[in-house]
Amino acid sequence: MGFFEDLFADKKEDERIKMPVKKDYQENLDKIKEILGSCDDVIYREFNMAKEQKLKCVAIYAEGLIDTNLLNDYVLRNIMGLSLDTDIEFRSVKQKIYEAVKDGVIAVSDIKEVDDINAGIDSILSGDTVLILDKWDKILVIASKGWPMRGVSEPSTETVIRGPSDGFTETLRINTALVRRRIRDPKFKIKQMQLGQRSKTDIAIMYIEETVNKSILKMVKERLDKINIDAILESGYVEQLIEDDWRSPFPQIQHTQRPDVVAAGLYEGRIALIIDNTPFSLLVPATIVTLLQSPEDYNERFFIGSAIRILRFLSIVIALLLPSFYIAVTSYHPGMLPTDLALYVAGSRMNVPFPAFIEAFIMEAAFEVLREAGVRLPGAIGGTIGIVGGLVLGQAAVQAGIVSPLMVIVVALTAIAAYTTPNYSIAISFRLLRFVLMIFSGVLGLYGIILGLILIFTHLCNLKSFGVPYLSPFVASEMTMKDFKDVFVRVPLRMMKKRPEFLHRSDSDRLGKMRQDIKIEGGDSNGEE
Amino acid sequence: MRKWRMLCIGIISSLLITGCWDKVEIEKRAFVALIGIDKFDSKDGKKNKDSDKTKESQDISRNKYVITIAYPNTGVIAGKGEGESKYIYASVGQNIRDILGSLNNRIARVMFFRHTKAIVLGKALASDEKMLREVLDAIERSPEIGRKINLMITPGEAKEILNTSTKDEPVLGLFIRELMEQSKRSARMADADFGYILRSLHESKVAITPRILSSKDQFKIAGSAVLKNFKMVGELGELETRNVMFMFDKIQSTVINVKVDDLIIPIGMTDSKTKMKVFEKDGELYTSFDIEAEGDLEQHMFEVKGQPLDNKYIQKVEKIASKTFEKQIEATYKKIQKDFGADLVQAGEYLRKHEPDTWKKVEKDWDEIFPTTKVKVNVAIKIRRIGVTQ
Repeated sequence: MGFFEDLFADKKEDERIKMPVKKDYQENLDKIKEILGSCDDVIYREFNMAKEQKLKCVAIYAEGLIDTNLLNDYVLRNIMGLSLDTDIEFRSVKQKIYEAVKDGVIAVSDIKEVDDINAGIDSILSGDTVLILDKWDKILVIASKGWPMRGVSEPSTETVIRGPSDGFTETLRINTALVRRRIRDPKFKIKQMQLGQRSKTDIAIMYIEETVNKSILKMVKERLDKINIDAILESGYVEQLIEDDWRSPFPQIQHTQRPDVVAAGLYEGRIALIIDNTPFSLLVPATIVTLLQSPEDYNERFFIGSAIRILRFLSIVIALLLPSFYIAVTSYHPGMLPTDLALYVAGSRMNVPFPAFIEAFIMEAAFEVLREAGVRLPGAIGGTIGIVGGLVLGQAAVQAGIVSPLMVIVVALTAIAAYTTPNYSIAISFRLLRFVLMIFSGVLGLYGIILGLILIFTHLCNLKSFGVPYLSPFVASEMTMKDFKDVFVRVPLRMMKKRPEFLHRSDSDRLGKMRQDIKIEGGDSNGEE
Repeated sequence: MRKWRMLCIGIISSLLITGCWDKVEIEKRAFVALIGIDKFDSKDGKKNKDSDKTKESQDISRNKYVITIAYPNTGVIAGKGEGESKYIYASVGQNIRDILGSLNNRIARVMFFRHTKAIVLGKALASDEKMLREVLDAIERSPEIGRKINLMITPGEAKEILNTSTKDEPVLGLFIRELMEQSKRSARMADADFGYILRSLHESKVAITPRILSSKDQFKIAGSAVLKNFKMVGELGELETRNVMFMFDKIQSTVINVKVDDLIIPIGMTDSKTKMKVFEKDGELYTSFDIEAEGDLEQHMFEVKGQPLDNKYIQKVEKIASKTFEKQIEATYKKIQKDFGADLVQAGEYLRKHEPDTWKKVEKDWDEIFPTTKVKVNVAIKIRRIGVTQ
């Protein structure tokens, strides 16, 4: 246990410059106003209390970040209702606020006494209310966070037919809750930290103590600690700052919008990072195999899961190689085609003014332009772009004789095949490499394609994600060979007794012995030897 | 960073500066479907009106071969272009390389031989040993022409075959390929590709090749030509060729007619297996063929009660069929011995591989010994299906 506590011990505590709270009410207020000057969204609600309005008091909060009902109805009303006759001091105000706890509106933990003005300011900016009372050398921080947020809705990427349709939102707390709902295990830990000098973005590191690989966890923490950036706006920022090789075209960290994917990853022994203000969370380490999996592979029965997965691998080969193969075959090796096809291709390319390479490059580039336009345009128009671009342009180009009809088929097939990949980032990588391979093939034919593939595979063999080989289990040791049960085919669940080996995690049993005591009627109930 | 930049420049320049090697766009290629090679005949030149050329082409000492090539108009195939469905070009010259070179000067495309389906040799050329050896060597050496193409011999001139226009399939080469596939069913032509011919010629200097015949708008691939010592020595008829194919164990299906009583019954073979053996017995060499075949009874007589259903009758038909067939194969074997003296069935090869001791004895005079070998044929034909009658 000592390991985890050491790892997350807050070493930064000492570095913070403290600005102690003084007894003088006005001095404290001026200091805050000075620091938060020109921040017009910060509201100062000053009021006096007690006999002759002697006790000065101010509530400071950022408008829009707090739950105003909570503040007005339960906090301010409680303390303002204090008798105006008696001579009261800050202690009784404090007491009144704590009374709100009894009403069950605020939790004890929601009220903090702080003696550092900087800490108070951080609280104000993250949505808490700060209460400064006269003649007290502490300030009161009341958690009153409440801002308009998007509800849990279906994720826009990684859609599945069978499977939960809740997706992460922009709010960290909701996201962690969505995962916690799937892992009701005390060993499931959520450690929070802040990143970004100015943005102070919350980041939650999630892992299951018994399945996680400690050295990977340590690596994650160390790399996060090294980040020194002014703002983290999206999980992509974190991803790019902690990945192993920034030169690689391949994503080395998996991003997902789905809490079930995160939960499954955690059960496998991986580590999840949830970043505030974005619905995309990160999963490390990632291998090429994990990036090509979809939760549906597991939700469906294994025949279907395996078939779909094989289909997906085939699609990747198509998406990566089809245009370059077309170029190679038409320009260099027409002998490889069956005679009838070769004659047809030759005929259909008659009068096409460009060589196959230029033709393919133009068409593929045109498709990428269309795709980009489709993404940028508002939803309703996006579909129109598909029709105008795909159908009208393609048809017109063929009829004008600028491209051959086969090329249009090749482009369309590649485009569709690329979209079978569940992970968007790796699909982009393959699309990029497609162009590289097209150049290789345009210059050297099939020989060039093989050269290009050798280059890509050399790089892939070399690539690691948090110390785990990116190509595992293909670059396997004897242990990771077992992971092939979940690569091209997904074996039935009852055969997946161990967690994946590539993480070298500690607790390896996924599936215990099936319960023998429950008899299912009509059939072999246990399926175990 | 510097190192990286240099590496990138190196890779890119080595790719781009060296040029695109043998890149030829597919539409710029002429897919030669069929090649016809003939012996040059001085009367060929007379047709040419161009005076200079005529003289040159009439010069037999300079011109030995006439090569005719045919390639399809791909535009017509893709439904794009119009005009003739095939182009035919011919040229004369000293050797094949020369002629192809001069053809290239006349065709706007690059000739491409990977999809060539057949090479047709005229009889005059095939009967000339020196020329046939030259041609075979040129084809064997060529990296572009595969071993799966068909080398055929036509009794007339090869260019007549190329000039035949079929109505069915516009691409001549494809038509011939399809025809070959179809003909395998009737098994009346030699199922022999170029690979087999080369191997057989290398091993025993004998081979059979399919024979192609043409009329105005029709082809027929039937029978075979026999090559011995690198020249054509004779032809085998359709049925004889079929029998040879039985000896080669290359039969997929065929029909044999059997005369039972006063009926001629066709039996459609569906499966056949041949085992060849060569052995020495009482100082004489025997070649034996054990053929096990299965077939269907395909025709009898309308309203003959009982007979085909009768087990005894079927056995009788089987027995007669086997006997008839044995005789036919024996006759063919003897014809090969007598007419050509050529070891077509590769009995010598069998001896060399399986009976090296015997082979050593006969190796030197094999050409004389083979015609004296005896043949033994055992055929067992089984009738599996008799069809349905009321």
